[in-house]
Amino acid sequence: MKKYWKTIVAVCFIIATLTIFYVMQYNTTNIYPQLHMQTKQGDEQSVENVVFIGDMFSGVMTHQTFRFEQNETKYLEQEPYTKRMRGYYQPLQIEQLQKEYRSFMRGKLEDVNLFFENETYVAYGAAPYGLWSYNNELFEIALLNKKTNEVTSFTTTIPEYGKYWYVEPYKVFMRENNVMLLTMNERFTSESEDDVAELHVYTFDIEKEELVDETTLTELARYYKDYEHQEIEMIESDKNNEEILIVQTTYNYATDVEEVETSKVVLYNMVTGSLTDVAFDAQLGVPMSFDGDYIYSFKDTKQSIDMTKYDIDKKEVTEELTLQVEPQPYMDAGAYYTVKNNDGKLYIVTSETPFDTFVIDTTTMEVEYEGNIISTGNVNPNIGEEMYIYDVEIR
Amino acid sequence: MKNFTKLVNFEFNRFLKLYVTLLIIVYGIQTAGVLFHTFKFKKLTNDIVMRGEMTELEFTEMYGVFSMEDFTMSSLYILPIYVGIAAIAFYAFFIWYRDWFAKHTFIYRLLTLPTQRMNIYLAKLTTMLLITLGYAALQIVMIAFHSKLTKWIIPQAFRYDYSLYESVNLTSQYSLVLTGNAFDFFIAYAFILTAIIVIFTAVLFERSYRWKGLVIGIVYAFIIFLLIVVPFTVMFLFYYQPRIYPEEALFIQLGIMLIIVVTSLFISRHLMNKKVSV
Repeated sequence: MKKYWKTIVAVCFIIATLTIFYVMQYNTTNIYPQLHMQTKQGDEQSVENVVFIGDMFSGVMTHQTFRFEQNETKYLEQEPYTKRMRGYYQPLQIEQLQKEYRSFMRGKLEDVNLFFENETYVAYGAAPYGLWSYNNELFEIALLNKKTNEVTSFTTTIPEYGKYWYVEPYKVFMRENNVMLLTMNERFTSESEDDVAELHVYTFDIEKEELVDETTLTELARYYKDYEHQEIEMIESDKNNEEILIVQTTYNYATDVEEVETSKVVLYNMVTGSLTDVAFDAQLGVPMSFDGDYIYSFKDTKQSIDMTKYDIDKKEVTEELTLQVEPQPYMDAGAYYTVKNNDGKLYIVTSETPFDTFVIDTTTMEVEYEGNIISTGNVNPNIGEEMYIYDVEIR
Repeated sequence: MKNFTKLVNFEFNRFLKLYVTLLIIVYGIQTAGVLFHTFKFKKLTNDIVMRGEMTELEFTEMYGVFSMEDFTMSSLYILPIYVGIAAIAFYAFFIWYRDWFAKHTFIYRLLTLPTQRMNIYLAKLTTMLLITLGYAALQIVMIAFHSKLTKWIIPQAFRYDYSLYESVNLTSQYSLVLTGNAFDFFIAYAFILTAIIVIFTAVLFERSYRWKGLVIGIVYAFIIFLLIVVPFTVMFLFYYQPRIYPEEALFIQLGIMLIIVVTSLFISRHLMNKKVSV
């Protein structure tokens, strides 16, 4: 036995060290801060179905993505291996689609904007980047009939793809039995010209398995100057699958405080194909939500978020609401926040601690719930620890 | 079993002196790196804060706080780890060739021992695993020690303390032999074990058929490499559109590795019993 002592010591050391380390790690659930809701007003049930997604930064290099729902904080790193392999949390809708239609979802990009679902169909439309060229050259279209499980899928060349820097799908929808794809195509321009984003609607005949129509809805200039740039965003209607709001916004950051101004708002009806300019006063702020009849726009100051409910038909502001938020000490400008519209309610959460959270009933414009998301662990920004919430999903 | 234990003990002790030297070099250089970076930062705080040029808060706002990242990203810390891993990988070959090319051809005695020849193979395999696991276990201890060292030198106001778990997870360079999670550890060691077994098989091919065996060994290792990377290659080729779900790729990978291990062990047994000669 004596002559084995070195090997025995080595084996004991290995077993003891690895066991202690991994058992300790397994038993330590609270190595990262845990969050909980702190209600100021209303019933906490209002946020029961809300999933807050964010990042926890510690030190310089390390960050952990987390999900917070029903007073439980889960960090991606602590999820099962198969869930961690992607390196990100899948959107809930994608998770659900993959669970229900695993075979159909195989080989599909995990982006909710590329899917359309109604009682009968799941439609998919994408313009994936080529494997070797990093260009969008093809449309990929697929349609699943949920009742018959019949799948139709085909690819077709993007018309004049050489004209564009990229072709980015924003919305998939169905009109009659056609799959339609709303895209933003960034056109090549000369150095002296502003960039031009063309909004296109491509119509695909599922029976013929081909592209049958292409319409250019509008062209919007976008530019990048030293202290200013323009962006185009699309906001889907919360109430129907038919309308989409196209918003052109100018961001100016000549001063320390970034100024955001809405330059143009256009309403597109995907069923009728009609395109209507909306008379929207830039003073009202930035449209961030839309329910078919009303636009909800937001303006922020360091301590408040001013909401406006704008009636598209009457072309007037019908209601206003000011939400008081905790000043964010590390931001010179107003609060950053995420807005989600779901089932007649607006969910708003500021991006930094203490994460002011609001649920607004859009019919009455009353605050249904107000609270904060508080960390139980010490999060000390002075030493590089910071938490941010950048997305909200509704279960 | 007794013969196997004796052989493991023998193989481990044969490498022990070299192994301890390797560990002293690797962790000695790392510790020197830690001391260099901590004292450099300490000097900076002394020069600025202790002389009253800045408050603690102003200092941390301007220079940040000291944490393990300040030295784990340095070449003095990373390079020794890879030197150690390279040395262990080299030993996977050397553990066989030293028996043939040592001063007294030791393989004569080994192959004529009154025990199954596979015991020799398994003893060498176990020794390689012990060496690798020992390297990983000591890395955990050293991370804890380096963290403690930092705490002794840098005042709390100027440093950020990672937990041991975070420290291990901190940089990916550990992931070759050490991971922060038990399941990841299992996956990593499934790869490591497969790699060692494939190297052993290639060596036995060479020892059995000499030049022809060398070619067979290289081709065999190359085919194994292709097989191992296939599921992930397929997944990553279509990274933006995974034709294989990640969890499927993992299970296919583990299945392939199991087949490789069984096949390699079977081939090795055949070579050890029938082909290897002195």
